[in-house]
Amino acid sequence: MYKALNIVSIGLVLLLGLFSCSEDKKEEENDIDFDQPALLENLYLVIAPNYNQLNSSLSELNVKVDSFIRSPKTQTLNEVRNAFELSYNNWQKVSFLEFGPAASVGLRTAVNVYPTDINIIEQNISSNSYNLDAFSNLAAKGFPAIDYLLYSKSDSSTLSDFNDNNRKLYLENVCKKLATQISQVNNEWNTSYKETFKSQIGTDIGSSIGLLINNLNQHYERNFRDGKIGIPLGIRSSGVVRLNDIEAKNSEISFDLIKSNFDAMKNIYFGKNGIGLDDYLNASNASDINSIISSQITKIESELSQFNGNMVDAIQNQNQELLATYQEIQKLIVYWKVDMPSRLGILITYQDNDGD
Amino acid sequence: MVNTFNTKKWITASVPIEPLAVFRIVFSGIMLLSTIRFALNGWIYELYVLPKYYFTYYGFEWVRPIGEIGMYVVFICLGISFLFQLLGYFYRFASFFSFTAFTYIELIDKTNYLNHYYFVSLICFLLIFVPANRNYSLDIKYRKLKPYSDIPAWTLNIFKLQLVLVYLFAGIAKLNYDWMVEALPLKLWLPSKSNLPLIGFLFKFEWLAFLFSWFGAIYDLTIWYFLLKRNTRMWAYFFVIIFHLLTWILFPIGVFPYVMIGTTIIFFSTEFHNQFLKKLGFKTFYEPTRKDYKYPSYVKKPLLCLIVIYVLFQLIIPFRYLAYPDNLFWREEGYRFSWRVMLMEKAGYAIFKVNDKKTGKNWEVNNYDFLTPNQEKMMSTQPDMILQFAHYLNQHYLNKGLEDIEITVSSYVSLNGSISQLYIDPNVDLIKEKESFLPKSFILPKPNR
Repeated sequence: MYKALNIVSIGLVLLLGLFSCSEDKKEEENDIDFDQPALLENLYLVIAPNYNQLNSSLSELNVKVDSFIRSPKTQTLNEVRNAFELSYNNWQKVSFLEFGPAASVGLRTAVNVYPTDINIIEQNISSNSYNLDAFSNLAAKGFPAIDYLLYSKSDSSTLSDFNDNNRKLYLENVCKKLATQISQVNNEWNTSYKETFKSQIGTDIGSSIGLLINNLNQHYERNFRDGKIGIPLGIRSSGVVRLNDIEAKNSEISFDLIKSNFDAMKNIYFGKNGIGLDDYLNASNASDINSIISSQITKIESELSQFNGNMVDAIQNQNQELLATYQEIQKLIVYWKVDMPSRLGILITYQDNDGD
Repeated sequence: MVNTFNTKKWITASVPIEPLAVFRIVFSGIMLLSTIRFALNGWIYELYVLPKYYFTYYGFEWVRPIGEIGMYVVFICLGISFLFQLLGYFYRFASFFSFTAFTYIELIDKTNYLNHYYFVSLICFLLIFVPANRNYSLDIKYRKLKPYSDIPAWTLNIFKLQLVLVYLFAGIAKLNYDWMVEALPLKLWLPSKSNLPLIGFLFKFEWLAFLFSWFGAIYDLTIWYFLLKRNTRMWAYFFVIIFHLLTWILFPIGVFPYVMIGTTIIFFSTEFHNQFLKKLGFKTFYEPTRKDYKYPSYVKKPLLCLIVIYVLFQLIIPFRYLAYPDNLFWREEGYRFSWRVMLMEKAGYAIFKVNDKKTGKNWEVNNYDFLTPNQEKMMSTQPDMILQFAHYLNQHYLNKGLEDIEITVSSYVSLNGSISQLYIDPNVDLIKEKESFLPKSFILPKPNR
């Protein structure tokens, strides 16, 4: 009997207090009912077409490369350049998705290491013996290598350079390798990874939302803010301007790429026309954070609109404006990396954690 | 506590050795598995080989990792040592080694501080001084140490006291406005689980965060009492299991729930432990008459002093935060070593700015060039680590020949979901600030909600 009483008492003490307090706030409608699968469904619809688009533009590039190396002349050169610029822009729409299929092949380092290494490229061309999968050739392939091959010299010099069969072959191999690797990742997004992405719900480190936000932020910091702007500008490279480290240095489409990249990240945040991270924040009683983020995105877009094409010109002639733009870009990472995960309950964690 | 405090009953009386022997076996077993898990996760390399820089503890700057092979050797020895401890073979040496090696590893980098690692260090320390190997051990079987059937009560109760303090302080720490009135941070964490199968739908309800917050607080504050009382013990232990399994499902807290579930069985009766040992096939080495373990007279006094000092420290350390101004969660001065577990949602971002006074050049530091993602994350919300990193950067630039620089930081912190705010005074040259136990003047006040 005494024992039974004790059991009852402990149960009461442990449970009673709880119910008493859960009454207070009932009037407010603060329950958070958000449909994570619907978010993932829509984000898939934002992401997958971008890979498809990139994939077909690379097929097109390879077609143009074919006709260019068959007959190098101004027209074919222009066509191959146009196809390249389109592909490079399309790459920007998926470059920050370095998880799942892209991570397993290390796509970003396979296709966009810059500055490209001219010496290795020229050596490969003259020896005509190279393995593009080798680690030592990471800086001698991908978009930056094509940027060098097609744009680094005047049109006439480029055309005469491409009378060399080795050079033709190298351009062809680099473009084929690029297309193969992208197509592999594209296939996975269309087949096996499709369901994986949609089904990994939750916000832990291995969930799709966790992966997406972590990779978005890491890309935004290192590859967008620093790689595309901060390092060439010197603010992220010990105060030394590094014109050689500019993305698309020869084709001079740096700002097009920057805008494409930012636009694609923005589309992930807003979910394009459907459910996005903005809706997730709103549903999580964090519309204040969403409006701060939204207006910061608008701010960055208008800052970026001052610049066109050539990064070298911007660094030299619009230095202060570019620095100001950089600082606006920097503000967003704080909201994206600190405020958004905090409010969504995303425990960004790498090891065990007891929350302190 | 229970009636008036009975010195004889809790300290000097002789009690059966079985609960202590089981404690030795269970704790060492969990630690052995935990060490293996740590290695299999690749964390030895990731945490103690890969980083370029380690955030040492104040006063322990001399504790350094010893290279890749060295660190693997330390972990292998630690695993073997836990195994020896479990078997009670060369127990005194093994327990001393376990404590030293484990504490050494934890002191290397405060990035990896977890309350349960601190708990493990403390238990390892206490195990050195108790006769947990004096029965059911290989020391008796093969090394012919004298077996005993009974031990002084304090050698058992010191572990109970340690567990009581963990629960009690964890409970007291929860008695703050955010936790009790706002149900923060659980209100932020739980809804993200609302798409889990079966129970997921519950997590969208705000009242669940309140329920969990209050349940957690009341549990921590009272569970020890029900564990101490014989009549309620089984039910209390049932709650221990429920509580820790729930935290294990919801949060990435590793082996902590198992450490707590395992060590809490020390509260159980001797009969329970007898059964436990029998089931596992352990045989007592002491029959038929009973014999008390007695410490040699020359260790009694120093040991008494040691234990008294230990307990006093345990009582005082969690309250040391009272010596610091403003909000503890914001400033984190006196936060560690105080059983504050899963108490707040805190995130930050720190931008270090260098000004070379000679050339007038200004730039920002790429933290990721120097720190692992986890180190950067931990550093961004903890002022002592921000200061350490600034000094490390200064040293880095000194080595590069930059002798006259200034390092400031623009850092933003969000606490329990508040919009991120400036954390450190962005005008303070951190190179001129020194680490100490004094309050840090460069931390900005906690903003009002």
